[in-house]
Amino acid sequence: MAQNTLLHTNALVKRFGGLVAIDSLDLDVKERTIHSIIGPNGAGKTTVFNCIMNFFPITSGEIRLSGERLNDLTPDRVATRGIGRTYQNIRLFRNMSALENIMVGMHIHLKSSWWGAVLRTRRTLADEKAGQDEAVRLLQYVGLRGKGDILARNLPYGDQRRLEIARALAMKPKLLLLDEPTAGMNPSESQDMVTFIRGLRDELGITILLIEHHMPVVMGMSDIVTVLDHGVKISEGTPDHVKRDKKVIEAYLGTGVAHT
Amino acid sequence: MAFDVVASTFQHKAITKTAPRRAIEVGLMGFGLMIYFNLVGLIGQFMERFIIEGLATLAHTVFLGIAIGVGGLTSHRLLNETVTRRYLYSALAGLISGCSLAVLVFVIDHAQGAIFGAEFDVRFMFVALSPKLLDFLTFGTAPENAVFYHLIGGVVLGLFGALLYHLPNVLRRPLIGGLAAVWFIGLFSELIQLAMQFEVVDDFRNFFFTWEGQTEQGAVTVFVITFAIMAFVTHRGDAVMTGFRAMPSSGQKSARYALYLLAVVLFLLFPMAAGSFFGQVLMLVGLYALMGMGLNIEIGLAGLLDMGFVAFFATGAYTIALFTTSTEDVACVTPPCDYLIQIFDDRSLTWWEALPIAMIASLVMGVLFGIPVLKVRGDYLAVATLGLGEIIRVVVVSDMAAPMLGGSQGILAIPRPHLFGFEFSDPIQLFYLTLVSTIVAAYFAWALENSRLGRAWMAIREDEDVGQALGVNLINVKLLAYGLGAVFAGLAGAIFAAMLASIYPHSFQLLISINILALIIVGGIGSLPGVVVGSLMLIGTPELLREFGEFRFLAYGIVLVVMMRVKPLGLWPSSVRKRELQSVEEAEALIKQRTQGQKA
Amino acid sequence: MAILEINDIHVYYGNIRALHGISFSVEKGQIVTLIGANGAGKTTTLNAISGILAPRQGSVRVFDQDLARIMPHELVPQGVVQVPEGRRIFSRLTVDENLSMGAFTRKDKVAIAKDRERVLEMFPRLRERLTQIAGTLSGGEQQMLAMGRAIMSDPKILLLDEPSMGLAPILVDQVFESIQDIRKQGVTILLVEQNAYVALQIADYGYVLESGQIALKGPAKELIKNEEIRKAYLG
Repeated sequence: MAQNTLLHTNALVKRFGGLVAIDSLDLDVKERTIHSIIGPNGAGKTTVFNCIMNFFPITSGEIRLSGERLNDLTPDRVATRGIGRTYQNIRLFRNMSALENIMVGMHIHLKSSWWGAVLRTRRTLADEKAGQDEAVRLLQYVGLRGKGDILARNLPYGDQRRLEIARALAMKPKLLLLDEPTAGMNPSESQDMVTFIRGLRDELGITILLIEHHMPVVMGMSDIVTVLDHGVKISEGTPDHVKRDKKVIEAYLGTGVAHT
Repeated sequence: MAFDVVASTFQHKAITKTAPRRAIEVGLMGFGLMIYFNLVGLIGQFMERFIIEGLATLAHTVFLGIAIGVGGLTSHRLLNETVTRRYLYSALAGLISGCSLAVLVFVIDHAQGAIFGAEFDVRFMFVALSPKLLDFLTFGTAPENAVFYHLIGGVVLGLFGALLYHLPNVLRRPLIGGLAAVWFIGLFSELIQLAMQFEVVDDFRNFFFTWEGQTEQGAVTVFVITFAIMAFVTHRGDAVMTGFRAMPSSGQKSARYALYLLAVVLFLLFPMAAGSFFGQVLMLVGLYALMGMGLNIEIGLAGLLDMGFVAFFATGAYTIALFTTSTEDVACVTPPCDYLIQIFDDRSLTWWEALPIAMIASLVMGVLFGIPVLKVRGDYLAVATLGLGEIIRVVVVSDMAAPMLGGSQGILAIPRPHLFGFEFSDPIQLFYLTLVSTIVAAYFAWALENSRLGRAWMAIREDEDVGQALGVNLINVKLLAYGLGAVFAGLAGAIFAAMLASIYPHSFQLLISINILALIIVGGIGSLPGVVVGSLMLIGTPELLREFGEFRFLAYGIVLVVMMRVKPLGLWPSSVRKRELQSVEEAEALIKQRTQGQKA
Repeated sequence: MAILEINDIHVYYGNIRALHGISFSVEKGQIVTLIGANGAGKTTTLNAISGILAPRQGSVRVFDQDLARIMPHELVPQGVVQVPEGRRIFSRLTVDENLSMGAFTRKDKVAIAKDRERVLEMFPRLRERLTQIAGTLSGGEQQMLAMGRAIMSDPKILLLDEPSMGLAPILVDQVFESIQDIRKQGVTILLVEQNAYVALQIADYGYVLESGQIALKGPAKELIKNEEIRKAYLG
């Protein structure tokens, strides 16, 4: 399994005022792997995602995707390089239909211009049609067939999570950042999500960087697990290695029942 | 986000209150309304305006309406009570609202006097409480009797309201419909007569109207006819609809299209038949609808609150004015504009030639306008754009721009548009020009909304960060929203300049921006038909009520508040288009085709 | 005496029926948990109890009063407090101000200070962040703040919606320990939780919801051994 590195962060530092959110983080995400980031609440996990998307300027360090430096790109440019993401607290376009949500995800791949839309050129119409078909296919892929015309905010919670992933998939990303995809799901629903995420890696060849608190999910499917505490990497390795690491147990896992 | 505030509806919990408390609440509502209308002088004005000549004034109908409404509402709110008790409480509520007039009679009758030796005069504070009003409220009898009449009247009308509420549909609807028809025709009798200025209909017109109002025989006829029609519809309407549904679908379709066509033809002919007043009103409605569509792109689609929208309207109007008037009128010697003058010295452009320039100018203005506020979000954006809009207006009036833009003197003698030797000069002709522009603009707005750009706009309205993370270039998309939105206003401004033939800075007040914002909210944010409905409602209606002066803005305010209360999503809210289901089948066929191809 | 009594409630969203006929009662000092899949109606039940939604049929009785006669804002002073799912904190206020808002309807300054200390002991993380704007907290920290704010309003009945959501495993243990502490002080707790295993371990009684109805009920100790439940919810 000698894979190439897809995403690499080099001595990444992010400070908010006096608060150090991420301290000198080196992260190496290999192609076609599921790489998890775990850690106590407030350890800076979501901040890592925001840094990768460049939602705010990083304090120092470097982020590279397939060798290309992402530091100076705006988030929309980062997106065009092939990074899609979902959000911890589900951020769908709530007043748009499920289908429209996915079609916004295709924004960078659709080529039609606004004057093309007004003049109804053949190219625009064909482009729109192809996009729509693709969106319907994606809906089916995530198990939301027939729900495309429902407003996103009217979908049940689980469907919203799926739709958010479908929207990210519409970008045809190389790297998918998933922020707690099984939050609020019971164990059997979580298990379905695990199967689904594995499928993304195995069938679509997408590399996955995952933030998650459900230990069965993390341990069950990750190739590599990175543990953050107070913005510092305290452990990294295979799930088995991390699970037994004393520092991880002390700071994060605890000895109670929650990690069963 | 402004959009969320408007779009979200809350499910309120119903709180159980005791019946007497509810009746008293409703009664006090009526009481307050009546007192208020009297104190502000509304009744004073309305009592001179006949709905039915010599019989009922507008003021009478306001009193009757409130008291009957109070009775009906009380019954409606007490659905859990027995019928007898509902009547009883309705009478109580009616009595309370009737008290208001009794109190007023007493107060005006004792308007001047002395308490403990100190003299007072109620009219010093409340000018509207005139002896004339007292006369009106006492029906010419002694005040002591009038107090009594009002109390009895309140009870009777409250009971009547309850009766109306309890009547079966077959009777209630025609009754209310008939009364409403009489009222509306009486209210607009002057305008209707204006629209009937043909000799052939003179006798017909005189049967129904005098210039004072409706005639008695006219009112009776209107009531009977409306009653009959409504009774038929209520009683037999379902049967007619069943008959309609029983028709083959092609027949249904053609019947429906015939109906639409008839409506369109009537609408097209209406201003021509009704005269230039209506032409002008409809034209104004059209101009506001045009601007509404533009602002709808900014607010409804892209979620960019813009309170300076009038600036684009002004840009369109001023560009037309500059390019179509002869340069002799402009005394300009400073470098950039003397150069411009040289270019156009020989001849000024026609309206049609200047139109594209005006639209491009407003597009540029929109983009320039957008740049400084790119990073501003939400409520702050409203304030920032408000400031920008005002800056533009102030610049126009300023001495600096005066040599070119005419300062507060404005620009005069703007030529009318010509087309194939035909001149658009009177309001009716300009109305048709506006109508065509509005239809074209509506198509543009519709096409934009359903495009990739339209979806990107909606995405940044919903969540700017997420949209950006999906690859939407915020700068491009926002500037396009401002620019394209501004083009609609520029077009409206161009027509506006042609209509007035001269423009002044004071035509471009902040109030216009507010009006446009209000009309798209009332119509339903993000909805194209909503813009037209909102414009008819908020621009058309006040124009028709012009005779009531300042009081029409009271109606305007009431409409706004009531609309937001009962229809928070607007009169014609935008609906999500059904697109998935129709393409599911096609997509499935496609997948099947592909998999078969792979196998083969 | 049952301090909370739900009697055959039916709740609709528009025309969609979310709950059809749910009845149960909670005794003083109990922890009762509602478990079930997403969309089974757990949160809807909580919202009906806290007065956010009005049932179309059936009744909710709190402290032997009909909920329909209590205004939603009167519920908190009466001691019915909900910790909503999705961390509805005041994101523009500081952590400290959020906690103070929890005690908005209380007068007794000494008791408030005592509760504040209790919350900060329960969640030391919040003490570190007292002056931070709540919107900038991480997801898990916001969850702690929402719980803390609820405790500040001195609840008699605490409605908890997914308290473990987004929390690190070590914190899940802590939160559930503190839930037991809160109960020891006489607070009655109605707990909605996806992590059914943990919920059933601390609960006295459990109800399993399926598409708007109660599918199974029983003492938590028995439910946890139930084969069906193990398969469906315990993984």
